[in-house]
Amino acid sequence: MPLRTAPLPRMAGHLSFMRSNRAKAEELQPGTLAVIGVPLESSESIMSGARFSPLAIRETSVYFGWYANPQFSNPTDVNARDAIDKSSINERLFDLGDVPVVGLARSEADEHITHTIEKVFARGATSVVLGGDNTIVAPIARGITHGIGNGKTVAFIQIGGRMPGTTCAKSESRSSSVPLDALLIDGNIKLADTTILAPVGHPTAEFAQEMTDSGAKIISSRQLNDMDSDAITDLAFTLSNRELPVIVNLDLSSVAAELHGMSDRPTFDGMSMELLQQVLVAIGRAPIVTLIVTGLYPTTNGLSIVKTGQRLIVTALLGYIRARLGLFNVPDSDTN
Amino acid sequence: MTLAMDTTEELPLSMQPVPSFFGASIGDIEDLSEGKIAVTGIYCDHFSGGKPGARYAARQLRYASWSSLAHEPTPPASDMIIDVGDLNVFPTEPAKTMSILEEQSRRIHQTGAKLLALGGDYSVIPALVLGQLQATQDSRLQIIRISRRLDAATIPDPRKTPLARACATRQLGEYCGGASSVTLLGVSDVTALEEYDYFSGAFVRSARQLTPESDKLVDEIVAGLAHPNVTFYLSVDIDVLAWPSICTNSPYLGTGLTPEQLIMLIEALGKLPIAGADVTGFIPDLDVSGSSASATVARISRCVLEAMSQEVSRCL
Amino acid sequence: MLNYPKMNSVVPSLFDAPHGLPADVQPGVLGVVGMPSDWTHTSRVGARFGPHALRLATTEMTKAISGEQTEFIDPASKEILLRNCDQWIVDCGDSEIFPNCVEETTEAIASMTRAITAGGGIPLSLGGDHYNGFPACLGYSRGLTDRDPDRKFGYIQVDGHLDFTDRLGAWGTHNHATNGRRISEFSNILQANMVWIGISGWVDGSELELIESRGGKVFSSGDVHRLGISKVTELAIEHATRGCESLYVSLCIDAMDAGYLPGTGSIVHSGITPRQYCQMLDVMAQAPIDGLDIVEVCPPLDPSGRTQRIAGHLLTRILRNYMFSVEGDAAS
Repeated sequence: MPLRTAPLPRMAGHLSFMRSNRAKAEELQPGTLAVIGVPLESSESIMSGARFSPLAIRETSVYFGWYANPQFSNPTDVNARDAIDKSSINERLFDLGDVPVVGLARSEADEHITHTIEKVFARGATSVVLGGDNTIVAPIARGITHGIGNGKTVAFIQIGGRMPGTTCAKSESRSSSVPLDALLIDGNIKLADTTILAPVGHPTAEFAQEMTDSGAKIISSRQLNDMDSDAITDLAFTLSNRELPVIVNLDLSSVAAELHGMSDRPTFDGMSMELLQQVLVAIGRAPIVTLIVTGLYPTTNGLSIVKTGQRLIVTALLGYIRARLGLFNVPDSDTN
Repeated sequence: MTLAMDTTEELPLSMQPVPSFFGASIGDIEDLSEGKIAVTGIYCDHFSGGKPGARYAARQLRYASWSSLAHEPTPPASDMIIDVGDLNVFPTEPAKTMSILEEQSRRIHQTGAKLLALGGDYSVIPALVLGQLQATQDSRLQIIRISRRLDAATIPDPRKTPLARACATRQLGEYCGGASSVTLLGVSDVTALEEYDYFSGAFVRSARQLTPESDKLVDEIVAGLAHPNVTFYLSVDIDVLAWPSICTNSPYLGTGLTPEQLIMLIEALGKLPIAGADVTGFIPDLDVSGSSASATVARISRCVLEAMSQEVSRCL
Repeated sequence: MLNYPKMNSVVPSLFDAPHGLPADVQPGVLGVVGMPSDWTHTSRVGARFGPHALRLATTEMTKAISGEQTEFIDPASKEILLRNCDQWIVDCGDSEIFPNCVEETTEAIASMTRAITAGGGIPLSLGGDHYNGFPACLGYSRGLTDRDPDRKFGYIQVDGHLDFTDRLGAWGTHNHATNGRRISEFSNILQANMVWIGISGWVDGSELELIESRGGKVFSSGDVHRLGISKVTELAIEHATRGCESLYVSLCIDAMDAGYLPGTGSIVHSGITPRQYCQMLDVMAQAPIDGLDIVEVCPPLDPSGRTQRIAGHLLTRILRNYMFSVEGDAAS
């Protein structure tokens, strides 16, 4: 008989994302979803603390722990009046822990990240990566492209985050802190397979033209707001309905700053929580291989006790996880 | 989509393990046996009155051992140390909490392992000691309590108030054969005369009386023992510290020990056979700014762990 | 003669109210009871500082409308507001709290709100975590029975959470997740007249089913955005006051989106803005409320201090008809 015979208080016990089981990469099966932490940030941002995000997000996520939280014996989304299917969650959602990057040189840390993602991808599992800042996107993409073979590229959806400051032709002035730049430098994506949703700031006219000419898309949060939920679902499938693995970078800067205050690129023209949830549910139904969460700075001065940013991310991820694991009761879009 | 042949199988993949006390491996009752030390957390601070918050100490102490957050390189814990998670408690039901803590402590001690409880407050410790006594049938357990308070108030009706910090030390004394079974170190708070009189037969040293020559203190403790061949239970309350950045249930008064003095004291006491221990009373800040305090208390807790682990060099 | 500025009271009170005993609260007057307890909150503590913070925040607001001026104008509605110079509120201080005994804490709070209610006063209880809404309402329920054994009451809870669990794991049957359930067990509450506004995220489906099977109503945050807050509030009041003359309202500030009001123990991202919350309370101010609490104000979790100020402002909205009367015609 185990030591504990009764439920623990919610905040007690060992930490894992949504109280999911811990697993090793080699234990993953196709169809499982692995949560991986990458507590890494660069010095390019004016803020610091993104490396504490995996811990912060996990802490907040225990509220939604399935089997360990008796409050959710019959979880129901009160807005959708939709019972949440948790029948298989314990066997399909796993927390792999954090990639051990602390104290390593950046290049070595990136190698560890790449190696981890490659291993998870090779098992046929999809992943949610808790960053860190957006400099972790490039090594993660490398992990996927290593897995699919040299020379192959991935499709990329960036939600929020900075726009590249220049056209593709001027590659020598790219910044590695802009995921799109870094992926183009590496040759892991083609512009035609790229979509930017709710970016922060504005692209140069040249870059916007180049995106359009190549068939790529930039969709602002206002445009997303004007779309109904079916249109968003159709958009998500169109974006991801390719022969290429799709990786998604969700940066907290995509969300209206007044809702959290924990991004290094605040925007007041960002998405509402409701819109973000719609987008993530739509994306979750598409074959995404990894969703990378970045841009949360939980130690923002005066806010570290506040936890709004991490709670927002966890709440938004719930819909993505349900959709990714096929746990919604609503039928998928006909465009699938 | 086709996957390239997996070329990663030959490469070991290491991940940062889940935060655990001192980086120890995580286990349950079946992993315990003679010679091992079970380290456990207590998410309960409800029966001491005063300020809540000690419930989070276990979590923050686990983080303090985590390489992402640790202030210093932490040597990995020995295989003999097992983090068995947090014990079951019922924070709003004291009788059930008393009962289940007794049971869990008894089960741990029945494996032959020792128990180190971290976090929470002192009010639940009598339950753990009772469980230890039930498992080991040790009639010569001595209590060493390091705290600024006596906590020796008259025990109210235990059916109504089974757990209360204010009388916890008296309860421990009653379990172990009377006031003379208790050693009190570091006392500095003004206390009721009746409580002090209760411990007139005990070994009591105030914070001011404790000297750097801790070895002499141990000699004095041993000299005062009624029987040879005793074992000790060491209870450390962080409120004994006079350290403004470390928050405890008791208001900061500036009296007490420095962390260094407390560590030296614990190291000296490690020469005695310690069969069980706890470190309670720490109220951590829940954000990164509080990590220094957590690191200090983690260092003290590790010291207690080492005191429990080391071979007893002193013959009683 | 110099006019010295009015100094803050040594013992702050809500809206700078005079102090008094519960039994001395006159009919129709608000009697304030502080409930500085967060021992029954299952995670982030600090709400025990809520009563004090609300007293400071509302006293600060009161200074703007105290003094010789008695006529004010609401710029939004152009109504002329006449400050009520009669005694409309008495602060009865804080209840005794017993951290290691939920039962004694419950009875201590309930005895104060009972005394206020039995005398015809209107208990206004300041939390503390939301469990304390249960003893506050318990005393109200008992006091209502003392006054009129046949009188029933309806109930509106503004909250991000249902708080309708019967037993929450290790936390037992009396904590901040069970207060609604415990309140539903009162003999003089109309279970069919229990309404929730602002529920967000995930709930236990069986609790939702139980509420609705008894005739209760749940308006989620999605309903608020879809129907409009004023409409939802009107529907809620209509539902809660069917066939009864008494209404108890429990305001949990965590119904508001955490981005605006982070100083509360269990934050949600409901999208409900301060403006919407205020609009709701403007409508609710017209309802026959004779018992009220405001809970989960947790100052340590909001270093900016805006949480208690927003919460204090929420009180001015729902208590507007106590603080002011409206001059006959609105100013053009």
